[in-house]
Amino acid sequence: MPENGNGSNASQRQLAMVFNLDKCIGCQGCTVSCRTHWKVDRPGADHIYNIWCETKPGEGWPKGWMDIGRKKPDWVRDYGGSWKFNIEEVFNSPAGQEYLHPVAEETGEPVKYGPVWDEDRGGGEWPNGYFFYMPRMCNHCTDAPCITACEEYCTRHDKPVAMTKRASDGIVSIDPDKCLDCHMCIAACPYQIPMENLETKSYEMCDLCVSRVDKDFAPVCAKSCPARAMYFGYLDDPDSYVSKLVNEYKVALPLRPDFETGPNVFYIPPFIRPNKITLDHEILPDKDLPIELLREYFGPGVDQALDTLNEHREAARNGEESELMDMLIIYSFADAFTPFDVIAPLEPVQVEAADGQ
Amino acid sequence: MGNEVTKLGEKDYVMPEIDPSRNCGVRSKDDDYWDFDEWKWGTHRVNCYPGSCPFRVYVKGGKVVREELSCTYQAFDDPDFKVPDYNPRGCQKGLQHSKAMYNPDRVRWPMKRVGERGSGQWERLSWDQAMDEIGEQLAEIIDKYGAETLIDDHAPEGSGVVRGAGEASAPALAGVLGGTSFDLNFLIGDFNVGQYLTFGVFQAVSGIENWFLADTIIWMSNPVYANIPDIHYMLEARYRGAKIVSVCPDKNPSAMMADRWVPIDWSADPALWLGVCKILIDNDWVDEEFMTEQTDLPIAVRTDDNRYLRESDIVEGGNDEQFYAIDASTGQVGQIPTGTLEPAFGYDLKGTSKVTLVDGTEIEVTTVYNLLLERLQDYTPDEVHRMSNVSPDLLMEVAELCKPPNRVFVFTNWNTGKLYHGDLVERSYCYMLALTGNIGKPGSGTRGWNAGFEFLTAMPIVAGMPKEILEDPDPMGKTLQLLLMLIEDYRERMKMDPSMPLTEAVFGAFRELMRMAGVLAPPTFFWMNHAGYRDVWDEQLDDPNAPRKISEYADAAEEAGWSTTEEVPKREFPPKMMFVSGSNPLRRHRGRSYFENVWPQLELIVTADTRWSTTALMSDYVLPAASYYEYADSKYVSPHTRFMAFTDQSVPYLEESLSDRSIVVKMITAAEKHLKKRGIESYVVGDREIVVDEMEWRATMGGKYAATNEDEERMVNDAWGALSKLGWLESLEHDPDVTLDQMRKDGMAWATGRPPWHSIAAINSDMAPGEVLYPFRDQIEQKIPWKTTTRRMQMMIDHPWFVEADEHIARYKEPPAIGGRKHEVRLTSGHVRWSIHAIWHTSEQMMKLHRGEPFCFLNETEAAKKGIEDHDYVRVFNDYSEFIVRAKLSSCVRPDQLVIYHAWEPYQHPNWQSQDRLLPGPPKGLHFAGGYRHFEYSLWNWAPSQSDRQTNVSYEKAAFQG
Repeated sequence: MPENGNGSNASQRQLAMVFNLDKCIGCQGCTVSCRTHWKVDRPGADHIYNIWCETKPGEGWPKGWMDIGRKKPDWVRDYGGSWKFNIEEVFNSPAGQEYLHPVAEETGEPVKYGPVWDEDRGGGEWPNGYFFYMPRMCNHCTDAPCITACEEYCTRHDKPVAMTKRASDGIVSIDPDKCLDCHMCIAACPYQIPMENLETKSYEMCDLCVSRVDKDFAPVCAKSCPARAMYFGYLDDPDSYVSKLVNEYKVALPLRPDFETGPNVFYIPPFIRPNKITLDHEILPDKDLPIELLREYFGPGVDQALDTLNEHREAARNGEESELMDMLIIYSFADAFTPFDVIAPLEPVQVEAADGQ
Repeated sequence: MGNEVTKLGEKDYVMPEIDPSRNCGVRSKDDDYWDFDEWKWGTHRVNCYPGSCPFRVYVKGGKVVREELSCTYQAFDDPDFKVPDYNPRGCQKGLQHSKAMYNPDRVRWPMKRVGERGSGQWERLSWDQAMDEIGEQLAEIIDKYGAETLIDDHAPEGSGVVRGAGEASAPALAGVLGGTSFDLNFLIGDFNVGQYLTFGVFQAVSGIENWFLADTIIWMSNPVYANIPDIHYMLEARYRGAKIVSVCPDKNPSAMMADRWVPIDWSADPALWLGVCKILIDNDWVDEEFMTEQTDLPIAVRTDDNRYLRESDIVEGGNDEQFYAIDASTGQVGQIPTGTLEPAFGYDLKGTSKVTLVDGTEIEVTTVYNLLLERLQDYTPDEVHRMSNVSPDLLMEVAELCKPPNRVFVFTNWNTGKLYHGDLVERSYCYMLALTGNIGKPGSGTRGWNAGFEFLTAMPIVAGMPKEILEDPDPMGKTLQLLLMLIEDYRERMKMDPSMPLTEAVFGAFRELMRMAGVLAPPTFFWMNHAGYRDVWDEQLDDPNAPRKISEYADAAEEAGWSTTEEVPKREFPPKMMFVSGSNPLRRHRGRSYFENVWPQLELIVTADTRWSTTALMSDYVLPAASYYEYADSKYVSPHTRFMAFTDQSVPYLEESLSDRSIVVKMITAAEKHLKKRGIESYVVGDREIVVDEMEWRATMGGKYAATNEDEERMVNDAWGALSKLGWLESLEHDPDVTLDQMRKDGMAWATGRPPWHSIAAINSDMAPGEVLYPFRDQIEQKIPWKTTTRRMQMMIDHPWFVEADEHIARYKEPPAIGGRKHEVRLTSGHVRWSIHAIWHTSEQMMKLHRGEPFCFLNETEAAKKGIEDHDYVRVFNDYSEFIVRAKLSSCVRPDQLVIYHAWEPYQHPNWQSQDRLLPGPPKGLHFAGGYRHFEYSLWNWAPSQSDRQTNVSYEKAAFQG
């Protein structure tokens, strides 16, 4: 087990996701495939996202999550409320009278925020504006503060605990039948991940597609990534790309390690970037992306990770073999998900009882 | 049914019940996720490119409940190259179609407007009634005004190759009834004119996997938005050590992922590339053997008129397409062979010589290479800096990345061709590729788009064939055989030139075939004569460097009878009926004049679509087309991937929708019935006799395939049979017999060999399953001549107009003002991330992933100066028109720029006015040129194309704020 696997909720094994932010193109393929598979026609699911991609720097979603601290975001202010479109009005009125746009159901006003509001705005000053894309999902933390908060609340109210971390693979999930809608999980999560289903009054979040994982299929977001920027596997499996990227090469880093929750979602920082330039287009020595920003997000390990990545790329350019670069290339797509399958399932299947907690 | 008004956009589909606790983690064993009835293959017949992403579509209770990328692409087994596999290939739009197909914008029944056009009042009709009314009106219009007044505006949306909208079916309506069908590539403007000028073709694409083999990749586009399924090959090349250089005025999302960003000034790319060429030559970083063998650089040029020396110049009655080079050993000119690129003697690139003309005068000749050197004197690093703002250091870096033996790939999308001086941009980077020998080799080259050879068996072509072909049991196979015969005929009989390269013969034969079907015209003169653009272009284009006005070029071309004008819908036939299929002209057409001038002239507008587009909402009749999971067909194959992807009938036609082909057949049948009712038996259009009794018979390929699902599935099977019989399709197991059953098993098949479709011929290489594809191997490996006037890659264009404009050798020209010089902001655009053109732009799922309505990007600092805050509405205007849009502020946009990614439905904007309104879209006058071997119009190739990028605008905070 890696060094981040020693917490109070530690599982026997741990599944992990790695995002290569040097390859992520912000297309929301992960977001959309997740919604197609899980946010289906069921009550309240339509405004819930288990994964989404943010443009960084930017306020993200919920608005300003990195700075909110540990408290429940406001549905309308921070998430943007429930979006509703006036398509019937547009179609059934004379041409030009009404135009298609979203309003927040709660206020009846045009929406003021949403899951991908900051897209492609970024930071810096012309001509050195910059941004990169960063998908966000539940980190399935080793020391998951949401579980601690849930346990604390449920026990105090003499109810069964709704949140668990599965021993066999470290998946953190919420049982909706047990969820008391107390909001403790979101208030405890520094990443502001769990989302309340306003209709069923229970919380939902990514469960790493546990229904698929139990049948050895990779999570749908990861296998649907057109940029091939996602990896999935067990951290203790020496053959898995995730373990090599996280443990061996140490180029995949947790987001905001200073939150100290032991995330099991890791990010390869963007390392191929254009240089800064002057208004007269003279090239400056620094890359456009401030290193301080990467350090803030990914901790002090980011300097070493960037050095390793750049060294290996240079070696590859000189014709040398690099296992690390080959793993970023991914010659065979399926290799990024060992031992899980990427081919779409053929049969409706009966699932064996998953092992308990 | 009857006269009551039917409301649109109601969301009342009953979907299968889903366990409310789905996706609740701990209870995967109880989950109903695996509870589906069956799966079918699916792909999306939209006009994304190359598309054809393989999905599995899951069905429950007669509804599609989700789709998933199949990840079933085979690995490459090319012995020469190690490249990543294609999986998963797809994008977020395709991943949500199972929801979009039930979006409230679906068209569900035949509809007829009740009030005025655009009143939003609709009545539901039965198919019988709709066809009866439309047939009657079609017959009346043909009777009263002539069939020429029927206009087909089609595009490739919904384009299944056998049964789909646009290409596969729509042109047959015009073809069979004798109307005018427009060339979609010039409606759209996806013509890479500079590549065409240089190579004689613009569709010489490589496989997407070839990008991975480049050492240096030049981005002149925004693949992060526009090439989502395939960009990984370029991002992954970086991990082999390849460097990416992004050349772009703004710091677009792709530039963020490059090693170098070159923030070029407006349209100054030729300065950059000519500066690079100068450095390459000055440092001897060139491939002289390639230049001598493959290009026109050694061709002798008359110094008196800057034109190639031709045999007709020096021999009475000589050939005006026989060119000369200077013999390095003798200093005299000698003839360059026309049938091969093998040099006949040692060509002197840098020499000069003297020749005596037919009239006895002696003149000096030089070489194209010398003219290029002369041109490059103007492109010193300091001059390049002045013209383009690219610093000398940055220029040198780009040059070093291009120097041999680096394999250089220039990645452009559909943007350079939409610049007014896009030809100069493309020609100048092609110079770099030519000087460094980066053509016809793995990891090298550039790209246009290329697709659709399967349309050879589709209704628009086959329906126009001679009667004996339609009487044959295999009309599709017979059509293909006719084409193969025409190719030999074209080379050896029609043009009497056995040395003609195959590519040119295929273009010519294909042109003949299309003429038989009678379906084709570039829209330029329609715009000028019937849509008001003759005046708009002359008024709105301010180009002090152009020798003549656009209208003067157009008139001269028409007077000369050049082919750019020969298939004009005649002036005396104003448009009376428009059929819209796979298209959305009121979204797509540049400039308000189109709607303002064309719409009032039309007495009948019929739109067939899956969804309520703006055009549909402004039509008289709207017919419901079935969507991508509702009938068996394939999407067009692009050589970029070479996989033909199959989409099956996962669920029945939704409500009363039908396949697009069925709709067209029904319309033709209805027209025939009502023409007969009027006693019309035949009529003449141009040189074609239209026989009324043959109409339905032709549309059904001799009565063999009726407008039923069953017959059309058989038609799909037969079409693939005809193509695979000639070796152009094979199964994944390399079985040469591709059938519907086989596709239901594999979900895809390989395109192979070299089908004689003009754009495939343009590649000049064979498609070999499992192997990396790169173009122009014929030229490099077999020394087969190029499809250009000189039979060589042409650095020089010596058409008199190009010489007059001093563009015979590419150069930098200041961009014109379009829309008013006082408007100092340039509007730029490009493919959008969230939709495929307008398709899926109004899908609720996609709209939630941005701001839910149209927006433009503005420079944060400049916007603040005007008191504009993020998400304010701004008014964008120029001398021609205006529109209102939300502002999104960023520091990645130039201060003098407004970026609006394209294809929002007009009804997403206040007043239904989108950015297309204020784009006058003038073509470049030089592109009306003809009378030059490779300046001959054929489908998708060589006609004037509208420019729309870098239009001049101003913006201010709008009074309207919602």
